[in-house]
Amino acid sequence: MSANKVKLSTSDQEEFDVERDVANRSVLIKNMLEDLGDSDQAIPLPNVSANVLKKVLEWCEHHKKDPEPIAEDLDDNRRKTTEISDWDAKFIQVDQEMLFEIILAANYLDIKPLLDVGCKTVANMIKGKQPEEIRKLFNIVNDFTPEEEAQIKKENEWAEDRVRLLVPPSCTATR
Amino acid sequence: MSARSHPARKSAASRLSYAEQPTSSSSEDEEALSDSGREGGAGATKGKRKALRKPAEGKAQAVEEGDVSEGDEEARPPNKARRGPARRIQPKNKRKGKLEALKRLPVEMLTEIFWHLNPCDLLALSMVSKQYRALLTAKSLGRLWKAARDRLDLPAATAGGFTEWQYTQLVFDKHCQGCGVNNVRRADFGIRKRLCKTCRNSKILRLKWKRHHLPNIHPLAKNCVLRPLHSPGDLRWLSNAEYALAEDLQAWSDQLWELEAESDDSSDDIGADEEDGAATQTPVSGGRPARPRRSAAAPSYKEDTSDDDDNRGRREPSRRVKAFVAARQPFLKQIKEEGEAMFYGAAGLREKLHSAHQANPVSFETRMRQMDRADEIAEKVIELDPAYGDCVYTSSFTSHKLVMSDEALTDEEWDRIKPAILKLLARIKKKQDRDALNTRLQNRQRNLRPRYDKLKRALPASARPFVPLFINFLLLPSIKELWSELTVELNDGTWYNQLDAVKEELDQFRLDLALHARELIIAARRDPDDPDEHPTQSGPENEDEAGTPDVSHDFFARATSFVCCTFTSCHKHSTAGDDRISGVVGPLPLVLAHQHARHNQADCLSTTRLCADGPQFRIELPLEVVRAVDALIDLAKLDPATATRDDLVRFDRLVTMYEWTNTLSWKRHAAHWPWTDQAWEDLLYTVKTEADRARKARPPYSLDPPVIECHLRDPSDWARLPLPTVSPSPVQPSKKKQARAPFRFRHSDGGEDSDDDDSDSDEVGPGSRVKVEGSDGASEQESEDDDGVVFRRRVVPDSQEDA
Repeated sequence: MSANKVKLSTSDQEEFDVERDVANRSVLIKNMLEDLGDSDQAIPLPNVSANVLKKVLEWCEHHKKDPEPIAEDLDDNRRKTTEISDWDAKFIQVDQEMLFEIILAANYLDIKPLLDVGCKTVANMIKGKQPEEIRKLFNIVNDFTPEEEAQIKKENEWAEDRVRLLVPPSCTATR
Repeated sequence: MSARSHPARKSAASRLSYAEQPTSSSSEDEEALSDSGREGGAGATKGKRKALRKPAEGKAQAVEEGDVSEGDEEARPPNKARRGPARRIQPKNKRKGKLEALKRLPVEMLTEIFWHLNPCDLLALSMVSKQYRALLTAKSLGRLWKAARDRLDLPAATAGGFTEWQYTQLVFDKHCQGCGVNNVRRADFGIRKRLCKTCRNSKILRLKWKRHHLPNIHPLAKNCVLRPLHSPGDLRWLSNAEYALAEDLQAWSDQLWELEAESDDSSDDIGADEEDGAATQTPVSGGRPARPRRSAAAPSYKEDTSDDDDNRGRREPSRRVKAFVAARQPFLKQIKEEGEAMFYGAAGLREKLHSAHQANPVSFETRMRQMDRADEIAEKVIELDPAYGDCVYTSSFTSHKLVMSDEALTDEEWDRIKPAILKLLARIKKKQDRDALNTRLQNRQRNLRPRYDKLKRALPASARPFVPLFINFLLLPSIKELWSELTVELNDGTWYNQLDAVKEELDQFRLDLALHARELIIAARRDPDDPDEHPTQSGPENEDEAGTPDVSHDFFARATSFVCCTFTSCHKHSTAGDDRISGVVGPLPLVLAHQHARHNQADCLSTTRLCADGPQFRIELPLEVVRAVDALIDLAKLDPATATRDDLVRFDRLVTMYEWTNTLSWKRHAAHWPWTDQAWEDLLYTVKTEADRARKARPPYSLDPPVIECHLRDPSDWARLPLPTVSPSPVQPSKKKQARAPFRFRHSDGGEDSDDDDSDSDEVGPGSRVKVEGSDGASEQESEDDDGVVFRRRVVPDSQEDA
C-alpha cells in the first residue's frame, strides 16, 4: 500500500482505500495516523457504516482542497452564517435517517465543516416555525398543560419585582 | 437502515446513547464492535468536546428519556397496522415527522444545531415540550441565546435581571402580555412589555393629576415608575411622555408609604444618623411633636381613613423616601437607555428583514414572460368555456402561483395544471356570482329608501322616533319580501299591497322596542344580590305588572329610565354646529331621535347582515351609566322616583363643571365648553364610552360605580337644592308646548314683589323674589335668593306665542 493511501474499516467490515488528503479531513483519522505512523493496518471506524462512510468520503473528496480550519476559536464565526454552498446543499439532500447518520459520523470523525453543513440544514428546516409546527416536524408530543403554558408565559414576562425589593441599603438601614 | 423501522427496536435503540446505537442491522458481534468503538472514539475526540459533554449529560438523559416514552407511543400503532389490513400503514408514514430521526441525536448535537438558530426559533423550540424547555433554559446555554441575539445586532439589556429569555420573548413573541391576543405590533421597551392597544388604554395612565384625585398615590411614586417609550395610543413615539403602568404606580406608591411609615417610627434613628451632616435638622426635629400624634391616629398607612389620606397627600415626603427615590434614578436611567437601544435594535431588525425581502425583485423580462403565460392560459380557458371570460381578468386568477409562473406553457404543462386551474376558476366564478347577487339586493334595498322616508314623514312627530332605522326597517318580514325576492318588482302596486302589513309590523316594532327598553331598565336597576327586590322607583310599574307593563311616556321620561345608544363613536357622526352627543344617553324617545338623526344614513344592509334574522334594537344600559345617573340625581337632591331630564338640565345651569373622580380617564371633567350644551350629558357620554371600553377589554372588567363631584357657579346655590320642579321646563325646544304649559307666572303691572305668596311661585326656591317686568309683552322673571344671587329667565307670554 502506498503512503498516499489509507485503509478504513467500517462497522459492517467493509474496507475503503482512500487518499491520505481525503482522510485527513477527519481530525480523528488524522490524529490516529499521526499516532500510528505509517502502517498497513486498516483503521477501524466502528461507529460508521459503509454507506454512510461512502457519503462522508464523497464530501471529503470534494473538499480535500479546502484550507484547514484554523482552530476552535472560529466557533462563533462559522456559526454566524447559515448559508450552505450549492454543492453541499445538493450533497445533503438525503433522507432523514441518512442526515442523522451523517451528523453523527461527522461528529465522531471530527469533521467540523461537514458537521456544520448537517446542523445548518436541520436548523434551516426549523427556522421560522411555530412550536406546533416544530412538534409536527419532530413528532413530539406537547406535554405542557394549558395551565403550565400560561404559567410559563407569566414567568417569561419581566416584572420588576426583584428590583422592587432591592431597596437601597442606605434606606433600609434601621437600627 | 431499513431494519430500524422495526418499532420495538426503535424505542429500545433510542434508549441507548449515541455511541451505543448500532448503525445497521443488529447482530451481536456488531454491537460488541460498537462498544469497543465507543471507547476508541471517546479517546480520540479529546479536549473540549469531551468536556462539553460532561455537564450536559444529565440533560441528555432527560431528553432521551422523554424520547423513550414517545417512542413507545409510536410503537403501538404500527403493531396494530401489521395485524390489520396493509393500507393502514399509510397513515403511520404520514404521521411520521419529517425530522423525527433527528430527535434521537445526543444533546450536544442538538445544541450544535441550536447554535445556528435565531432567537425567535429558540423561543419556539423552548415552547415545544418540557424537555426542550429544560434544555434551552438551562444556565449553561445562556451563551447560545446571547450569540443568537448578537447575530441580529440586538443590543444587550440586563438591567433589573432581564434574562435573554425574557428579552427574546419581548422582541419576538407577538402576543399581548396583558390579554394574550396575537399580532400585537409593538413592544414597549420602556416598560418592557408588549401590550395590545386595549390593554395599553386600560393599564397605562398619564402621570398628571391633582393631588386630591388620587390621594392614595404617593406624590413621589411617579419618580419611581418605569416610563413607556410611547403614549397609550402609540401616537407619540419616543416622546418623553409622562405615562406609566397603573399597577407599577400603585406598587411603588405602596412601597413609599411603607417607607414613610417606617421612617415615622424610626425618625429618631434617621435624625441621629444624619445629624452630623445637616444643620437643617432642626426643623425636622422641631416638627417632631406633630408626627407621633399623627401616626398614633393612623398607625398603618393601609387604614384608608379619609383623614389619613388628606394628611398623607399633604405631608412632605420624609428624607428617607427622598433618598430612596434618588437612589433609584440611576437604575431608571439605565432602563431607559437600554429600552431606547432595544427599540432602535428592533427597528433595525425590521428594516433588515424588509430589505432582505426586497432583495430579489422580479426582473422586467421575467414579469413579461409570466404575463405571456397568463394570457395563454386565459385564451385556453375561454376556449374551454366562454363563461369564464370574466374570471380570467381578476387579480385572484392572475396572481395565482400556477398562472404567474416562470415556466413556459407547453402542452404537458397545460395538462398538468388544467384541473387545478379549472378548480380555481370555479371558485372565482362562485364568488363573482355571490358578489353580483349581493350588489343586486343592495340596489333593491336602496330603491326602498324614498318610500321609507315618505312613510316616516306621514307619521306624527311623536311617533317618528319609534320607526325603526332603515337598516332595521329592511329586516321587517313584509319589507324583506320586497327586496329579497328577486322576482318581485318594486312598484306602487306591490308597495301598497304590503303597506297594511308594514304598518302592523311597525306598530309591533314600536311596542317591542318599548318593552325591550323597559326590560333593560328594570334589569339594570334591580339589585343583583336580591332578585326578589323590586327596583326602588318601580312604584307605578308594580301596579301594572299584573296587567300590561307600563311603557308610558311618564315611565320613559324619568331620569331613572335613561337608556344609551349602542352605536359607537356617536361623536363622529356630527354636523357642524350641532350638539354632537345630545341623546346618546337620555330618555328613550330622545335616544331614538338621536339615532334617526345620526345613525340612519345607511341605505342598504352590509353583506354580512343580508342574512340577519330580524330587526335589532340598538339600545343598551350599562350599569355604570345607571350609577352615574343616580349620582347626578343625588347631587341635584332630586327625588329618584320623579326626577326627569328637565330637572337635570335645570340643575346643570347652576354647575360650572362635573368631575368623575374615580376614573383614570383623562376625560374626567365635563364643563360647559362652547360646543357643549349640556355638560352632564358630556359626563354621561364619557361614562358610557369608558364602560364600553371596559366591557370590550380582554378580559373584560367593570368600572367602580362612578363618583361624581360638581362645582357650582355659586356655592351658596347648594342651599337652594333641590330646584323646584317645573314641567315642562322652559328649555323645551317646542314653543307650542311651552304655551300650553300649566304653570303661569303671576303678572303684575306695577312690578310688585310676589313675596307674599311663596306657595304659588314654586318656580324658584323659598325666600326668593320674583320680579316680572317688561312692557312689550315679554316678561322677565328675576329671582333673587337670600344670598343676593340674581337668577334671570325670560318668559314669553301666551298671547305672543299664539300669534
